Amino acid sequence: MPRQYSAALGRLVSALTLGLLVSGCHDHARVTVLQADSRDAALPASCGRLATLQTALSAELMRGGAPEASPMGQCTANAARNGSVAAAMLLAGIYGQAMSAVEGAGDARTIRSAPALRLDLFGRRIAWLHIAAQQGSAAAQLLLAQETDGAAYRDMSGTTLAWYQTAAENGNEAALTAIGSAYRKGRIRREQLYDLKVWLSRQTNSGFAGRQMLQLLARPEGTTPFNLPKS
Amino acid sequence: MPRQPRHTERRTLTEDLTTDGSAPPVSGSWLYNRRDIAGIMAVALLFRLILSTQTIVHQPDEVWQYLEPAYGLVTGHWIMAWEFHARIRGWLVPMMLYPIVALGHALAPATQLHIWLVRLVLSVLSLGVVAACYELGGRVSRRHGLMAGWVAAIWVEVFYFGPRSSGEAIAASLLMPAIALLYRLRERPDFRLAVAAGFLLVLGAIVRFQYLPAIALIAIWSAWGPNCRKSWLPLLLGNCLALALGATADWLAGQTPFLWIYTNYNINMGQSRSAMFGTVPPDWYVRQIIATWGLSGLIMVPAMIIGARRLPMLLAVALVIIGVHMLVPHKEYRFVLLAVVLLILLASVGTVDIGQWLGRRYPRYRKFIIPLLGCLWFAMSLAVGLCKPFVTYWGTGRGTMTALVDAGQRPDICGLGIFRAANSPYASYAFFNRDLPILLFDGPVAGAAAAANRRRFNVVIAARLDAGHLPRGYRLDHCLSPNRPYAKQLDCTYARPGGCGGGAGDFDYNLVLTRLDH
Repeated sequence: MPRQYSAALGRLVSALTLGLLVSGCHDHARVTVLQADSRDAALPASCGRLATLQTALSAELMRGGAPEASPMGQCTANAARNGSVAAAMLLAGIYGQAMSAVEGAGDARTIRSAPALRLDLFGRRIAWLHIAAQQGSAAAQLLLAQETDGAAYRDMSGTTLAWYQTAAENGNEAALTAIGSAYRKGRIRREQLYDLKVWLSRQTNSGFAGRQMLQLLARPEGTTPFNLPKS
Repeated sequence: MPRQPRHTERRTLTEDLTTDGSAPPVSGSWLYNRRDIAGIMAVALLFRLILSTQTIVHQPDEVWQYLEPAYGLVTGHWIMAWEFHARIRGWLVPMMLYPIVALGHALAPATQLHIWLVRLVLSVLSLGVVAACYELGGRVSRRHGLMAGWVAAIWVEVFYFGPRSSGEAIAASLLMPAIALLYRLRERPDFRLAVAAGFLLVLGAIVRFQYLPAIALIAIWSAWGPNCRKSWLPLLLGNCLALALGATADWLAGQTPFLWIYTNYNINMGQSRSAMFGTVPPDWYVRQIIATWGLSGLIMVPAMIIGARRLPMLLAVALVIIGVHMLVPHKEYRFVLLAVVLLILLASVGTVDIGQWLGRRYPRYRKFIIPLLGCLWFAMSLAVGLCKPFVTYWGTGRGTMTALVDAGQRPDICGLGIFRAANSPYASYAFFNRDLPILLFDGPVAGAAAAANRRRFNVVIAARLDAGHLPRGYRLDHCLSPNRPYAKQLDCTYARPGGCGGGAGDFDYNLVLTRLDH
């Protein structure tokens, strides 16, 4: 059964269990986006201006302190937990910048002594991306999938695929392309893409990547696909 | 064919003995009267004991949902998976395993005795499946009962899951005897049996609440029996005892009793959380069962249909289990274990019917047909166990757990790092069995983070291909399966000389696991 239907069924039964009346039979991803749109608030003014926040929180991280522990960071973190995608993405971005800085640094000694590395940059970035992704941000969903996508020689994990798929269902073509690429490399089995296939076949306009993906899934498994855009 | 009175159906067990020319029924002890099933039970136990000596983790839930919390109750340190943060798991199974783990840990704290004991106890518990199959098959005739018991003893899917500490395996070990007792209660009310049946039924439902629709079906069916009214009260008493046990386990763990069932359903179905672990088409279970049985299915499926004519309710229960699980996008073969056991039971009953038909057709070979069918079942079990997809199950999880056990047994270890694990969770204190910090380094800057925090640990488990990203000073100690290609060597142990300091810090395994939402 496609995930959308089972989710709708699950919601309905849950509501009945509680004696509540839930109406509607919406597409799960769509509902999530609508909820996100209504709940997402800009960064509260009390936290400070975006540029100031970015600078201050990055500086805190470079000193080896957790940005969320500073007063400005606490404000931002609370906003993120209360549904602000912008706040969650800001915090995820700060950790992402620090990770890029580490990856870009060539000198091993400099890297080892970087105070920011006392913190779990990756885990903290994932945690904030997760919060933004749960609010329905397709960008966060794609980033989350990309960050958790492990080594190319390993199978793609179900969680990573699910985030790629959610991002694709929220209109992100890059996510669809990434799924196609992993499928071509044999990191995903065809049966894992059943939900995606059902979803794509129901779209009136699934876009270029969507059409290519459908063509790819129409071929017998194991044949060499040729014309899917590479990610 | 005219319908026979129920009491004659029950008598067929003893009738068979005389009509087949075997020994007449002998009064005496239960075991003496059932000495042939005692032999089958011995074979069943042997298979399960051999398997319980093997380090196999068929699915992570076996460790992180049941064994690890039980170990945590004993020692105070454990890896807490997201299910326990989200409070979607009950504590009945960990509380049941607690005394076993505690005993093992008390007797030999530096060994894996606590895990072996758990497997041993679960192996013995799973003999209930064999006894139940014997009893259910025996409702047709003694031969049917013996064949059903024999198949349950030697069939690879049944005994493979016997020592597993997974909800499905434990639920099957509880529910099969419950079903057998309900069959018996329909004919002959018995206070103690009814209490036991009610107790096992609800206990199985708590362990695997996804079986509730099937359990409800069998409960309703048993309530329509001719003697049901006499059994209601004792059944309810048994139900209440099991509910009290489950509620107490939750309460002792600081949870609202049974709220986890609603939370679990809400998160896994309402919020599609289970779908995050992968989804497959609805017909996957049917295809997987056929794929697992392979060519044996050519015999088993017709035999199952013939067997279902004898015990139609068991087929209905199996179909309900499979049907309900087909609605859930995330599918795993073990989820429908109880249904698979029931289908195999029906097939075993059906083969005896086929054998008896052959016996009537070829009277000269009559004596050999049933023993040959027993051998055929053994051969089919062997074939299923040695063919794909089942053959891949034998080594599942061995690398990870052996690496953890090896690391825990190193006398010089002061902190364990897990470097870019293929799966999360990966670490388990139940297997590591040391009160030392475990750290997790993941993501693209794992190498830099491990280098910056290198003093916090001195042993790392990493994939062979990640060796170049480890901090300086680490040398390869050993790799499990060193002859495989590097890309397949995922559980290698690296160590450096010297001590540790600073604890796990921000890289504490539980903290990172929570951030990664695993």
